[in-house]
Amino acid sequence: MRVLSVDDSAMVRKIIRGAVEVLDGDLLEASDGIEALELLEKQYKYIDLILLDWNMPRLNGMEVLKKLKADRRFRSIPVMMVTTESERQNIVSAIQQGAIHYLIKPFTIEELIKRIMECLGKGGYKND
Amino acid sequence: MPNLTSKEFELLRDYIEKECGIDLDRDKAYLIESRLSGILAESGLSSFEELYYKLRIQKDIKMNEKVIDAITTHETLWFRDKTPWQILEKVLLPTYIDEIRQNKRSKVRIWSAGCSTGQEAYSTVMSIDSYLERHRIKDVSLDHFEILATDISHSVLEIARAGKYDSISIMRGLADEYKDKYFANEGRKWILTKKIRDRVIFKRFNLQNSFITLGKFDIVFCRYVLIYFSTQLKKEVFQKISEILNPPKGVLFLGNSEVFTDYEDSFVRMEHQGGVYYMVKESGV
Amino acid sequence: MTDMDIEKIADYFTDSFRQVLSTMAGFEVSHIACEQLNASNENPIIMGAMVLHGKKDAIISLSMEKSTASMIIAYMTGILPQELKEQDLFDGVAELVNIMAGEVKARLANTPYHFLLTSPFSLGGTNFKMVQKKNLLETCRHLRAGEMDITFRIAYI
Repeated sequence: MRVLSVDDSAMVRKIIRGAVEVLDGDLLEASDGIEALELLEKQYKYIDLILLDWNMPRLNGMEVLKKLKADRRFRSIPVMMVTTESERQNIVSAIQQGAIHYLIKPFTIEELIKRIMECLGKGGYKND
Repeated sequence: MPNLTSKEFELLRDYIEKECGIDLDRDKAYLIESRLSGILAESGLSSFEELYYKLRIQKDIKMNEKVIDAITTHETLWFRDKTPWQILEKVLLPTYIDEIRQNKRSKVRIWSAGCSTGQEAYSTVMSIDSYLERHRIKDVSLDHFEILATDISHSVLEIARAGKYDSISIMRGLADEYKDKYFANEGRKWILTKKIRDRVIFKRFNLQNSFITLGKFDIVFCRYVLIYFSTQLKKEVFQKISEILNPPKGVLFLGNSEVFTDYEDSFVRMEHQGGVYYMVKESGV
Repeated sequence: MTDMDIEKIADYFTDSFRQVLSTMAGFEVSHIACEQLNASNENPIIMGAMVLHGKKDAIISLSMEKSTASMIIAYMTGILPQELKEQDLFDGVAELVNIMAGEVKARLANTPYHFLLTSPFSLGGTNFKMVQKKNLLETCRHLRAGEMDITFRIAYI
């Protein structure tokens, strides 16, 4: 399992790294939208999930999300927004643009791990 | 997608209060709104109306549970409050061990209700194991203890079962003694030893359901789980707990900062060195 | 904007900060009377700040001793304080401001005090003082988590 974290805070990327490692996955990091798209150009085939911050320099998360969903190569990679942006209309518009999950900062590490699992189709609300 | 109108929001909020048993603090409406928006994303629903329809008209139980899961947060500390495990070691374990030795009981059953990612249940097993070892007790073993841990969320249960924790979780409340003894460290990952992990049975369970299928218990941990629930649902849960606790000494632990006022019909409040626990009364007493 | 409004908004930030520290670091924060940072304090300080764009712009800041920042960031990331680099502390404190502001932004949506977030930044040094023009609408909160002190300030500019 390989996850790409796009966040301008190195601290947040460190927290995400811990969560991904607990799930025995690898983490790739980008500190803004441009860096994320550059990285995806080369590695999109090997990325199972993108965790995307909203407010970032150069290219923000919403713009990245739109670009991802408009590109046939990237479209199928699930995206979870991980952001402090918690106004309802913004959440709704991210969902409309194709984000499959929305995690609001602050979160507990357990919440983060749980959401990543759900994005990867593990541990959702299956039947017992 | 139309935004959630205040009327729709009121409808949803009333539904959540009534059907999920969760009291929504009106000042925190904006938070609830955000979290409910998240549920839309997870469920692939296209509007709040659709969510309301699923809940109210279709009586979608899974969606109901999802709402509870989204609105409540998961508690994550090891040995949170410390006092329940001090009471376990100082008061309860010595009695249980005597009773096992005198063939008055064959096992001790413990339930961690709302177990989240398992820290409470695993803290309990570590505490028992360490107690037995420190007191060089050989004739009573972990085999005499049965620990059930339940939560409404599948995903937290999967994390709990795996027994793997990030260093952030490990930093919170876990003494070095336990860390060194029961965990193997790989980078930022801490893996709980199989000996402890295998002792806990994790199961999905909704506290709104009947408890009868779970059997009887000697100890129930129900800590920081009911803080979001309505007074009515809390009352029902405490009543149900009193019915599945073994009289006369079955014990309920709540969170230290939780207030439990209507306990006197079913419980006696006990104190030990600053820690509080509730002992079930014998029925009819 | 009145004195009462700014006090209420400062309380929103304090609530939010409390939430952030309890969720992400497991610390309980209490609130004590607002004081200026001790002028004689020679320990290095890190201050995270952000400009808020609204009808009236504001600047918010969180300042704390470097050792406090180190402890908070350690508990937030699971990385031992001695393994954290200075850069991690500056980044972490700025992100604390960002997360704190995000919740308040949502809370103030559809009110006259609604604002947009900008990039958080951080500053550091010893004998740290923040001097503003007189008669600025401003207030502060002094927060305590265990032995650690943190000062929150907001000023409408």
